[in-house]
Parts: sequence; C-alpha cells; structure tokens
Amino acid sequence: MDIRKIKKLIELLERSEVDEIEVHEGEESVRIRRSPPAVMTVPAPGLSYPAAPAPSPAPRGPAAPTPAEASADAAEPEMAGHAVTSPMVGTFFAASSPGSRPFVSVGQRIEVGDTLCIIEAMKILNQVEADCTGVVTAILVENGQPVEYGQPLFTVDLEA
Amino acid sequence: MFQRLELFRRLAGGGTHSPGSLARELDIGVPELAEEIGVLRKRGLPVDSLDDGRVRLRAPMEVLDRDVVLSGLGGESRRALEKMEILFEVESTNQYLLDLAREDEAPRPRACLAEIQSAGRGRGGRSFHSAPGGNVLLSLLWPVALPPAELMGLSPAIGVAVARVLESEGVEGVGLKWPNDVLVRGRKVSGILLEIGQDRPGGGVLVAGVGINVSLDQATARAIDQPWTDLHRSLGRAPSRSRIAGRLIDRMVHAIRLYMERGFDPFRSPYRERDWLQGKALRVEGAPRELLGTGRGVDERGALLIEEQGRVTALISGDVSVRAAS
Repeated sequence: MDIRKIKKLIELLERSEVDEIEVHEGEESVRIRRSPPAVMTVPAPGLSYPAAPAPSPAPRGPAAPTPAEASADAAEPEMAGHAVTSPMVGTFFAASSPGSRPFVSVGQRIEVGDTLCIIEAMKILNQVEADCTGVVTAILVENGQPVEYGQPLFTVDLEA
Repeated sequence: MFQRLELFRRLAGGGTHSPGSLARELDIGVPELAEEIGVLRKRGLPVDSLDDGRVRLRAPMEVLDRDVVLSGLGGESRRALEKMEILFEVESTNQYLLDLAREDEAPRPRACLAEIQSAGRGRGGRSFHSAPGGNVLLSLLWPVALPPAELMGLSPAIGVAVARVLESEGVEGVGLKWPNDVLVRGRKVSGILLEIGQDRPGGGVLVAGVGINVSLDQATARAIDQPWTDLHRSLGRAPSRSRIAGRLIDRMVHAIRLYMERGFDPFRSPYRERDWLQGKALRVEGAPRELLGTGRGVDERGALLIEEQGRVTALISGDVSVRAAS
C-alpha cells in the first residue's frame, strides 16, 4: 500500500474520535490503532472503513458501484469516483424530517453547494453540502445510522 | 408595502378599531384589511368582530418592541452584531438566516426575532410549537472558523446562556437536560437548535436558534408531546418578551464569543450546577445501542457522561430520558 496513503490514514485517525482504523485493499491490509483514552466514546457498529477513507477529493477514475468493491492497485490506489465524507461524528439524516423526501437519491445529479444530508450531534445539525458536481452513484449509510469522522457517506461520479 | 406586523401592533395595543380607519392608517382597502384579519385569525390570534363592525384583539398583547430589545444589549453585542431584525412571521428563524448566509460571501453576525414561526423545528425534524405572542423566537447567525466537530460543546454552552437569562428574570429551579433543553422543575421551557451550513475551507456559518415558552395557550400546549411549562406559569406573571429577547441576544453573543476563544471549558462548571441528569437513572435511545445507566455530568467537550456497570461512556448523540425510580 502506498506510504502516502498510510500517512493520510494516521492523520485521519489523529483528527477523529476513532481509536482504530483497518483498511483492506485486495490482498493487503493495514490496521492503525492508538492507545485507549480514559473515557470511551460510544462505539459505532463498524470502525473499519470501506477502502475510501480519505476525506480529500479522490482522483478521477473509472466508476465502480461502491468504494468497498473498488479493486485496489497497489501502485496507484484508485477510489470509486469521489467520496463525500462526514465532517463530524454523529447521526446521519437523509432528509430534513422523517416524513420528507431525502435530499438526494442514487442517480441524481448534484452541484457544488447542494445539501446532501444532515449529520446531527448534540442537537447541532450540520448540513453536508456537495463539494463537487456529478451524479450520486451510492449512498453508503442508512438514515439514522451513527457515522464517524471522515466516514464516506456518498460516492459521486464526477464525469457523469 | 403592507406590513402585517403593523396591523398586529395596532390590534395588540388593545381597544376596538373601525375597519375604515385601520385600512386608511395602513394604506390598504377595506376588503384587503378583511383578508389580512382572516390571516391573523388563521395564525391563531383571536380577533373579534363586534356588532358595530369594529374589530379588536380579545386581550391586549405585548408586541416585540425594537427599542426595548436593543436596550438589553451591552457594548460587546452592539459591536458584534451587524443587524437585529424583528419579523412578524417566518417559517423558521434558523432557516431564514441560513438562507441569507447562502447568498452572502462573507456573512456577518446578526440576530433575528419573529412573532410567529409557522414551521419551527427541532432535532430529527421534530416541530417546535409556538403561538403568536406566546414565545421568544430568536436566531443568531455567526460566521465560524472552527470545524463542525469542534463546535459540539457550543450546544450545551448556549443552554447555559438561556438558563442564566431565565434566572435573571427571577425563575427558580432552572435545570439543563443534555444536550441543551432548558427545564423549570423538570418541565421543558425552552428548546435550542444549532445548525451549521456552508462548510467551506475558509469556515462556515453557525445559526443558533432558541425558543422560549413565555405564555402558551391551551391549543398550542396540547400539541407538545412532553412535560412543558412557560414563564407565565413559573413566575405567576407574564414577563416582558422584548426584555427577555434583549437579554438573550446579549448572553448568547457573549457565550458564542467565549466559546470560540476557550471552548466548552468555561461553561463546564455552570453547566454542572444546573445539570438535571446528574445522578439520575437514564435511558438513552438512538445511540448505536440502548444504554441504561446513571448520569455523571458532562466532559470537557460537553459530551454526556453516563455510567453503566462501572464503565463511563461519553455520548454525543441519542435521546436521553430519565427512568422512573424503582
């Protein structure tokens, strides 16, 4: 695995509330853990991410359905389109209220600044806005699901 | 342009009014006036038509008074705020400010009060119920440079600010239910909702919305699905909404500025003094799993500490309720 990618994962871990990150790419895998803090944050169901954890824009590449299915090329890691990641730990809401339509659905074209979802923590609603223009290829989390900092929420095909 | 707020002001001042002179004063026709009175009735204001054709509001009401609101602001808030406006009616004061910020490249701090909120909201898309003239509905817009994850503690910090305003009005038994419900003797009197938008590399905007029940009518109260109270009931008299609004703006500006400088730390001890969940048996739903434990205060970020079989967990999400003592 690319050393730059591992460095990025370490930075991601340092900035997040997560204690451990495990990433698999084909035959390779890496696990990064820090010493446990005195007080635990609430454990999320899965602390290991699909293979697109970096919050930075992904390089343009051939579109694949989800990052988890993206095939890894050790020489040049590629991600499935662009991953929109969570800016904070919290709960994912796909719509502004339980009865209303989700902000976005798969196949929908989005533009920079469009609201994609809400991440809530401690009664702060954070409107996650699109940082790119393209077509939503996957929604990676369920409504009401807890998410971690940097966790991919959507994949966007930038070339569509 | 016709100002619905003006019509509301005239009626709220008390007395009876002839439609002809009201229409003339507001510079509209009598049929339009009749329509506008219909709109006020729809919003829940009891406007009576008397036998002689005159109209009146059943009981005089306090209308938000700009001068009184502004007189509650100290130097710090006067310097910080670019604008303070009072709207008659808006869907949500939070949404109003978020929309304004969207159109503005470099939004400056501003405050917005409304008499009526038609689609006030709470956490998870729940409604915040309010009545015309019965609440203080305030939102503050503030540009922020901190990333969203570092703003979480501002939520209970604003709770502390609201609690202090109520105490300065003479309300006793004010408590805080994590993350930021303000209670009087265990019954909710105020709801707070923070929203973050425009998350860009250069920073985003924060909108902090506060609703305080001042005097709720029975119809509005029936729609509330949790134990509630209002300041009228708590104090035995109706306090001035305009004065509360001014004090609230002032306290909130101070709290936001202090938080941006020093984080949650200066709020931890005042929060503890009012922590209604401390030592109580709690149930938390909506977190990854249901938690049953005992309230152990908040940590340095404002997260709820809950002890479950000797292990303390810090929570940042979930619905907390107090379990009945067994």
